[in-house]
Amino acid sequence: VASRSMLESLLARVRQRASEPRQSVLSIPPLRVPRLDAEPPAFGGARRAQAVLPDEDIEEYEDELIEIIDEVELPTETPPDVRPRGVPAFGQSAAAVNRGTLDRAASDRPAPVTPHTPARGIGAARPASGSTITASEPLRAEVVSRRPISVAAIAESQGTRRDARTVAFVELLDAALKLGS
Amino acid sequence: MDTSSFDPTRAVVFDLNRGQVALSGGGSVLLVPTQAITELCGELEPASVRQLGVSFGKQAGARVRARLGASAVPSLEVIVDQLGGELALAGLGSLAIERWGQALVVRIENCPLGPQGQELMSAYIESALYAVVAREVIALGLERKSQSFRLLLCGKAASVRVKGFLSSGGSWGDALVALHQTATHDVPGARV
Repeated sequence: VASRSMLESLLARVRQRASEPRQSVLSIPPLRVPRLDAEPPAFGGARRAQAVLPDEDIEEYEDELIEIIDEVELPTETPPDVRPRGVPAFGQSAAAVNRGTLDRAASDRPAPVTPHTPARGIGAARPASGSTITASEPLRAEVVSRRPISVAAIAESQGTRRDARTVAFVELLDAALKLGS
Repeated sequence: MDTSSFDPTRAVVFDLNRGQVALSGGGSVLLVPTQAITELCGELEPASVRQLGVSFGKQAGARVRARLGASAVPSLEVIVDQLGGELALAGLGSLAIERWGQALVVRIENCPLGPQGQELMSAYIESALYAVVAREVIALGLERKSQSFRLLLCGKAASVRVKGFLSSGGSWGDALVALHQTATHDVPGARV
């Protein structure tokens, strides 16, 4: 029969272990790639390392511990990835996207509001130099219009020629009769 | 679609009981075989052939003038419609007027008289235009093919120059160009 002092010491150890940071449940343990040229590990080496752990004491008083632990308020560790996380539609910094992974702390914060930053739409304009638009830069349109045509003499005419069919025949005939005279 | 101002309705009246054929607005006519006129043009002196053409054209021009009215100032299109209608009604071919710069060229196609009929057709056009617009015009032959003519509407001085140019081997196109080189540049139908 375990004495009360022994149980209290075990409880203290349990609390200490509970307060220690643990590996996330959702995390994937790193894979070990065995080297072909390495010597095979000795049998029982890992088991001997586990045997020295003090968890054997906990197993010994398992039933009693369960009762005690049920009474103690242990700090709960919730998996961070199961919480709902909103994906910001706008305002996410380009640097966070370029990193490929979202900074958890940054994503939990509300999206920064930058009213002066133009949205990248049809009407948005960027300088031709490709420099980034700062928040203090006023929004302006970039209009691409037809360049002016240089003045050049394409054709010269003595006047606008009318459709001959509507001209009085006598006028045309009199002009024709003047030819060669 | 614009249609011709020439109305051929009842243009030719056949009175079979009396054995008469008449044109509307004109006297009686004869239906003569084309070959007979062609042979006649080949046999007669040019002056006689021209006289025949003058007779034909004078009557045609008088009918056109009667339809248009004495005070009318017909346009080029109206002249082509009316005079071309008369020509087609007589079976002498289809008429068009070309404008080469300042020069006016009458083109007659599908004329059944052949090359022998050029003198007749020149006289026809000259007399018809005199009857319609009261202008003395020379219809000088520029080009003659088997069934088509090109006649330049010109004055006496221009006809002499063009005849000399053509007789020296020049083309009718070059003749028109040469004719314009001495002409003034006040082109009718052009507003400045």
